Amino acid sequence: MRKFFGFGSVAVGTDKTLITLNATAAVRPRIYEIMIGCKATPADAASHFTVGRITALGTEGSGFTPVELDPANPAAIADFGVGVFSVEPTYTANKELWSCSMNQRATVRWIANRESDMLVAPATANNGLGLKSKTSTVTTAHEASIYYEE
Amino acid sequence: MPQYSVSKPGGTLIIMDECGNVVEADTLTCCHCGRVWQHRKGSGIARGFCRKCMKPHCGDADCWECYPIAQRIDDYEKGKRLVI
Repeated sequence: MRKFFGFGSVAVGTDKTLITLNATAAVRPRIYEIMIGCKATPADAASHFTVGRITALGTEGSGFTPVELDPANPAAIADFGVGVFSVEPTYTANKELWSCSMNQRATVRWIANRESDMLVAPATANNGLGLKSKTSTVTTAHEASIYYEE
Repeated sequence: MPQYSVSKPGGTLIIMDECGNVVEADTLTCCHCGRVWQHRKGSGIARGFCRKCMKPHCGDADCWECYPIAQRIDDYEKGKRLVI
């Protein structure tokens, strides 16, 4: 398994995607670590973040080539979508895989212990996993980092 | 040791506040749909345990029958299932 990293940041709000991990027909990417924090001046405000399955990638602000954690690795097959999405990805309803509500002043980190506990996307084109703010009391920029393997 | 722990956690959630206080909590992963939740004793949320997978499941209506996540993804990739 090869490990990769990527990050994205946007102003949070209602259904604002921070980053998507886009699978291909050739690979099942597996997220094993997520970090979320506020990159602007934080206030006492709350945001609710979720990771869900996506079945259409939407229109990302820009692409982000996954960074190999081991420089000897070949390039990643999956890739990230970051930036402000002009068209939000299509999320599978009521099937969120990961959820966390947090104060803006806090930093959240989640780590999977084993491969069977990672968040897995199917090896299907235009599918993947997306991390978004589902609701938020403010529109401050937050940053999300994702580590995954494929 | 996490403040909210189980014997075989699927993951760890670490939250650090503005003062540097750290709260750690174990998370569990549903063996049928892949959902992750924070273990919270006394939450009142009904979860389950699959005796075939020998792992906890999230208690969602779709997850009481044994249908492992790997099989769901296989079936989805083959077009046998519309939603994972």
